[in-house]
Amino acid sequence: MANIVELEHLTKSFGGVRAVNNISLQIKEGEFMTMLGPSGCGKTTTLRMIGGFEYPDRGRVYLDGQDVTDLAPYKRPVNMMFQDFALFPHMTVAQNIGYGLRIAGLTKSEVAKQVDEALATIELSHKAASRPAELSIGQQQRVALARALVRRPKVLLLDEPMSALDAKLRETMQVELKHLHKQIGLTFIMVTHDQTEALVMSDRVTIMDQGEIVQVGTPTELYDHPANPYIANFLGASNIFVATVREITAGAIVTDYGPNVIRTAAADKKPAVGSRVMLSIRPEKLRLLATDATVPESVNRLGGVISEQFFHGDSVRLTLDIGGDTPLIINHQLNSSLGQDALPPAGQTVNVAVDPSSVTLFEDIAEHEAEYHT
Amino acid sequence: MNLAQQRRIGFSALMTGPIIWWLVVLLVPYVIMLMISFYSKQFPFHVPDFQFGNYFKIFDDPQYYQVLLRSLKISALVSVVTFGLAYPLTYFLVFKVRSQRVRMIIYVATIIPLWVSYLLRAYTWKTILGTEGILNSFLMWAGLIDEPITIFLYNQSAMIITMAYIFTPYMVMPLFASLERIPRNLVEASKDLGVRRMGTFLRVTLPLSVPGILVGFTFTFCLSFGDFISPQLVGGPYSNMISNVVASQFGIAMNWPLGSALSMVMLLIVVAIITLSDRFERAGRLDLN
Repeated sequence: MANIVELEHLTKSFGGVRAVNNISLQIKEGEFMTMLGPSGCGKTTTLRMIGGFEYPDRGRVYLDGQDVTDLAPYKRPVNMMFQDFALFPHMTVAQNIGYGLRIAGLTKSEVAKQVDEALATIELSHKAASRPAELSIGQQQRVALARALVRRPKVLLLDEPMSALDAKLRETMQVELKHLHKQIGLTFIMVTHDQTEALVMSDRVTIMDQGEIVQVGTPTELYDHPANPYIANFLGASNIFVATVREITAGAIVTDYGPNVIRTAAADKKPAVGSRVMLSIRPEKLRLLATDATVPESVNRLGGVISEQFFHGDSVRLTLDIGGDTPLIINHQLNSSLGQDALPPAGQTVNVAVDPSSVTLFEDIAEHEAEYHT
Repeated sequence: MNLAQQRRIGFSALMTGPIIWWLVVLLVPYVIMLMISFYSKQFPFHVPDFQFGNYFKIFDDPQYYQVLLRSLKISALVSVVTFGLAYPLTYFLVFKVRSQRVRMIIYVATIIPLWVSYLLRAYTWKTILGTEGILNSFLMWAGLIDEPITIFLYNQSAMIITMAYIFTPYMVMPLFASLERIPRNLVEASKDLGVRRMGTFLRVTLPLSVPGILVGFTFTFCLSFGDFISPQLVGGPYSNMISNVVASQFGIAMNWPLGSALSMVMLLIVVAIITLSDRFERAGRLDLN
């Protein structure tokens, strides 16, 4: 697939603070790309440079092969859905949706026809003559979406589209927006700080931190193979701890963590024997073993004492002291073979298993070490 | 005495002053003025009566209704000139000045003349526009004229300039407040939807600043309409405003009934304008968050 958006070495500073630092990114046609990161990471500035609201200090923006860096927003074939929707308060719903069409050189009746169609699509035909303030937040969002889409942009930009919604509506809208994306096949670029939202909705996610791109990938790639401990921790919970490399065998790196030996399948990494590395294990990848269970030699088997239990409804979180610096957190689904009744109580010694492929290893840990208990 | 009674007494004690003040300096004078406006003039003073002759005279004698019309015209011109100067200035302040500090400095500098005596500010223009004034001195120094020009001072233009200067803060304040309330992302959304700068201004910024424009116009119009100083200081022979006529009726003409009737007409006009502007403002009131 062709690239619809290409960013080349974009840099933007505000009053000496570098908001975006030399980022390059390709976004494919029809893709749902999410820019994810904490506030101040530069994701919104990047989106605004694509929309034309900020002019980059350095670098170029290409849209559909055309260099648009010097084009004003009103000349770019993109439309944005603003964070608080930015509906014109002095216009009706129909006037809001038709606003960008009258300019596009359409006749009055053509505009009216397209507005009617758009209103029907978002099921707000009966609100055509209402002012935005008379609509619910969810309806306002649909109007904002319709207003951006009637212009038939090549790319739809969404700036924190869910931030104004409550938790329940947010989930519904995530699904609706995802369906809409599939249905119309348009390129969506969304900015969010909500990692669940990013994982649920996107084809690919760009993770940014301090003005730079940290990792780009599909949600599963990012979740299963985070590039560094920061991402591992940012995208869902993870057990992150420092271990020492004991030896490197064919296809596995063997590490020591307290009295435990943990093997990882990180074949592409070559840490020196004796060096300190960071390991990350997702809580749900740790399997509680029945007392008499046996596991193949290749699977990690760790023993420890349960220190606490937290009931989460569909699952139980256990903290397991395995003799290292930090206890492991285990997410135990209650519909698995071991029911809640059969759960070992706090204080009991148990074994857990984890596949080497579920253990992620990070080298060069110096900059991350301070963030975690080591 | 229970708590409710204590509160009532406390409240009454607090409100007695303001109520007496309001009665004595506002309501009573209005009532007296309204009554006198129906009295008859009778040498050497006037006698109680109930007749509409004074009002009739205002709309019959050109001497009075022409002054009334001139006052309306000059107030309208002052409002338009003030608006023409204040809107671009305020727009520039709110949308173009990026530094919050610089914006506040310019804003306060615009407002600060309000702290200076009105009389002094009006008088200043005499020294600028007069034959010995700054403007003439400058033009002579620049060699553009050989002798002082008298057309700058003592005419309606001088009055309009003076009043526009004096009432600029009253226009800038409401405009500033209403322009500042317009969310920036509305302007961005308009551009995003393909509308250029001018179209965005005409279709988004200007309509959303209408409340400020209305308040600004109401302030400047009503203040100019009642102005008494500028006609006296910088106005010429045909620059008398309604307030000057009222003053002379209560002064040398010793015709209090006519002066009162003129005052009542003025009051009605001002109240009508305020009501109208309030009605429009309410009709167009929008929720800008």
